[in-house]
Amino acid sequence: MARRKPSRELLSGWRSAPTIRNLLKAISIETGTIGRPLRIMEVCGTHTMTLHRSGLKPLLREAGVVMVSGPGCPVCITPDYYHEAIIDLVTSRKNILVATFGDMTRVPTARGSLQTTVPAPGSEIRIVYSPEEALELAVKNLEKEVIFFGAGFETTIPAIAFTVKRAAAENLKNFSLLAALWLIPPALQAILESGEVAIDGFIYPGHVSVIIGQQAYRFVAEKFGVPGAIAGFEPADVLLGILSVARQIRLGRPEVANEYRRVVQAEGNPRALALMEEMLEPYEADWRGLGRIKISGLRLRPRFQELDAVRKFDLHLQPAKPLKLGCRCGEVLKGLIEPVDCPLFGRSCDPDHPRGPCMVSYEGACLIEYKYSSGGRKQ
Amino acid sequence: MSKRRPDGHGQSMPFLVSYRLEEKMCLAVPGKVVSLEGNGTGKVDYLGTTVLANLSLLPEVKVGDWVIVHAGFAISRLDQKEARRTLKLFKELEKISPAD
Ligand code: SF4
Repeated sequence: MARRKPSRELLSGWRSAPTIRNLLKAISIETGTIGRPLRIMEVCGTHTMTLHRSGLKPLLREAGVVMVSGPGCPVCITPDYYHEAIIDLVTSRKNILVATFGDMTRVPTARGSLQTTVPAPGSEIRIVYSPEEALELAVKNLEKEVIFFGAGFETTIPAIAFTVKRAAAENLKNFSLLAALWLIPPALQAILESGEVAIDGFIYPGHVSVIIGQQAYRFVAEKFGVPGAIAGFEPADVLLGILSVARQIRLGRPEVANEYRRVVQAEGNPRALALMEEMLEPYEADWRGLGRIKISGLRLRPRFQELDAVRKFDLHLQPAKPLKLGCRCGEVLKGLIEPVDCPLFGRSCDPDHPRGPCMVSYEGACLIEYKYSSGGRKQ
Repeated sequence: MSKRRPDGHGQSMPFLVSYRLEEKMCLAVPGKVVSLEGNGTGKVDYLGTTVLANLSLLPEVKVGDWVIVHAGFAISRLDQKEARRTLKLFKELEKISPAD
């Protein structure tokens, strides 16, 4: 039993009430010295979740820190026309099996959602929890064309790259990938360059950083003079990141701090990075809300084109006229507005009837706000 | 906790586990590697719930290590020394600026 104790502390030490209070106090001392409230963007939807679920948002406000949600929700930033292309395919062709993550199926588009779509005979849509499950579906359903519709950031991309590599090695002919793969640092650069939203600092996503490491954000501090800290997902982790950012501001020394050292190595995960490099190439991708951003997306390298669903099925990933649903998700993703500023929030848009992806994904700011703020009523 | 859980998962699980099951893609908590199962896979335990994870992205991982698993793949190994260092820092914080 004695041996169990340290592991338990390793799990629970990040939620202890005295620690949280001390960190909040330290933060308020920093903001007191700085003499103005700070606006800090939490890039990752999972951080948004931590802040809401642990009730830290109002406490941080008292301590002089306003947290702004960022673009860190892959389901949210994947444009509608990816869904529409796959819906067109699965409704018009037989024996197509689309495998995707659960919340992807609920994103509303002009053609409905994958969940409401009626597939052609022999075709179907399946929810999977990992790309490897999609591959297994391909092995078990050789008579079908299995398309893995994978959305993700750097955290998920190595898993997808690994799976595609396995499909290539096993010479699996009925598997392909519709890649909605996005890179965080170029999106941050786009947000900073647009100058639309004033941000004093960033909390960098912990598990994206596990893969890409610390150096990937250097330009934020060096070129834009904006502080930032990599943080984990426990309440004390996020506060530690915020404290670091506040300190950097007070000292006038912006840097990329790593406050999640127990999990994030400075150099990232070399094996995962090598795999990404081997399988994928960067291109100028189109983000919902943020538009086209240079080298911000990854797609399969030409030598793996047989595994690329876009080429295999001649999918047209062209921005169509956006449907006027009144959804302001794009502005939420840029930190321009809060979910409650959207007139549809909690009225015609709720988790049972989402009008946009930010109310669908568990990393979506609107869904998180709705779940943790007494049913979507304005506070 | 939340009244609505749109995906309907993880109804009456302990906190850590429901956190895990509800947010299947981004698992914030580490699990412990309890066995290696060959083919680059291993079993990872989350306080009693075991999942099979692909360990190929962490070639050096051993039984007994704590890992972060994402979309079925272990992506990082928990550095217990660093974890303890941060926990110690929290304690020191208490000395410097005691709450209240
Ligand atoms: S509340 Fe709904 S409609 Fe409004 S921005 Fe969020 S997802 Fe879109």
